[in-house]
Amino acid sequence: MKEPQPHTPAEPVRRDKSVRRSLWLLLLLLVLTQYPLLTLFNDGTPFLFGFPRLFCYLGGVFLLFFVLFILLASSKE
Amino acid sequence: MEPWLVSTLILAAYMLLTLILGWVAGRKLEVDVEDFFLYGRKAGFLVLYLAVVATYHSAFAFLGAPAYFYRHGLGFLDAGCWTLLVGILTVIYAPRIHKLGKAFRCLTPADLFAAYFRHPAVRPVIALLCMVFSVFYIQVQSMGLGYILHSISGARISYPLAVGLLLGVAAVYVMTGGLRAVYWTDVLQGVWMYVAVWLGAAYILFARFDSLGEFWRTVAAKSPAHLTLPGPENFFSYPMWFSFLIIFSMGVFLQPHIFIRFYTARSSGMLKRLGATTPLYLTSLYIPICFVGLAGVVLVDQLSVPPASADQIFPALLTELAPVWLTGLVLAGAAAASMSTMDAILHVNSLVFTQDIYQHYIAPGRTGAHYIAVGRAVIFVLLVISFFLSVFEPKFLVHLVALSSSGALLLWPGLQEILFPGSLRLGPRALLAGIVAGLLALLVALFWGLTPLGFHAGIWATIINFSVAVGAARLWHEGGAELARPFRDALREEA
Repeated sequence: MKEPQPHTPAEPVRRDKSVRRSLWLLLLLLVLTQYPLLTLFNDGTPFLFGFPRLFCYLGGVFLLFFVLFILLASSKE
Repeated sequence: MEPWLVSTLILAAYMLLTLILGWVAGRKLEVDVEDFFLYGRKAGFLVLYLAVVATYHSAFAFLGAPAYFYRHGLGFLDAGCWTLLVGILTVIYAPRIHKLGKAFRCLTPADLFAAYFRHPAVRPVIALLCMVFSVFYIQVQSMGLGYILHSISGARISYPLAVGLLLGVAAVYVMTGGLRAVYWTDVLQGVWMYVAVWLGAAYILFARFDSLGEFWRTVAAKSPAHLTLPGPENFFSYPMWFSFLIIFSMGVFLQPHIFIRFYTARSSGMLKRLGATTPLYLTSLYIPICFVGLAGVVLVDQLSVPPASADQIFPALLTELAPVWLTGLVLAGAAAASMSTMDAILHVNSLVFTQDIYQHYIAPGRTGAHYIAVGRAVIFVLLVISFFLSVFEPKFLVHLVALSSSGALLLWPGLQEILFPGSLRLGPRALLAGIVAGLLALLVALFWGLTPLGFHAGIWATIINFSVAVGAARLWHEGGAELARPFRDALREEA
């Protein structure tokens, strides 16, 4: 009869590490792509013209950033 | 009471408060180099938080940033992105800087580099880079302070006297209480400047507009280009946006007066929380600044005294629209922003000179009291130099100031290697080769005004620095496991 295999925590740790890395990449992408995202709406009726629209967008980005950021900052390395 | 006297008295009250805080901090001081220069490595979360944010935002946030919105429109929302990036960098790098700084008893950035690369040329090169690239910031801040006091007093206090007074106040409290005085005054300055800028912006907006929607529609009708990218003068192209993003995040993060903040934290876990929350302050400060700059676009024609330059738009709007007490409060906030950066740079330059140059090469093995006395003398010398630079404003300084904002980026490859030991496999010669190549690129690009493909000189210098350092490391095979092992172990032990 085969001995039961000891539980190895390596797999969850690896998965956790790759999730964290993906979140960091997403966060960086979020910061680096703001210019192209804002200019996308610059076609005659600029996105930036609408005050509520602009600040809803910026508020949304900021919120998303903080959710991601707090997730990452609170995770154990 | 005369309006100018009310504003001047508010500024005087602010200066008096900082002096009292400096005096109280000085009474708590122990005769210990770490206590004087690094707050005994026991800064708590709130004090460190306000010290970092107040130091990060300088006179530029009050005078320069509204000018950018006023001239180039919403492209300056880039500031929102680079302040978020500062938070990310703090979470990634700062806990490691703290752990290694504690493990190797580092006081300065050069201490960390010298401990890792173990080569006699590394310490003086890093120390000189730190001093050269930050010392001219003192002059920029003291000029800002001089203009604020000079204009708030209706030119009754001459510009040289104004510079001398405010520089003197900052130098006195730094000499008295060391970094503890810098941190305690930062708490006051950080709160004051944040409240002041929001109050000032709200007053300007609601004095002339019924709602934010009406304000926005007026801006769109008056100058639609201010609400588009790349802005009315085509300044904010993507390369320029990207350049600002890197220079004002990593470039400022690596400056020695910010860098040593991370040595002073009580724990490295606290620095993660600090990184996650500093953008709340840093980013949101630009919201009222954005409104002020755009209000300037709409209201500038209605001002009886138009601003002498774009940098004067915020004071000009306040003087015209706000009550005198509010003008005094906001301009004292601008003085707080300048002073909180200037005192930090005065302090760090005194630390770098005393620790990296004086203690290592001129007078090793003296007592802590002796080094503290030397540190105080260095602050006095810096005060005199800054005074003369601010009053005479030599023309070459324009280049040096531009150089200082990008120069700190030269430390990046070395720091990457130290904090992630062995990641670039750099040795000391590769590190120095990269720095020299990057510095040459920076000097050539800045003095000849070159911006290839629209990117700022600082970006090119960073790319060249990384490429030469990594290429030289592969060629010379001098870095690697031997240099990296003690640092890897230290990071593992502390984890």
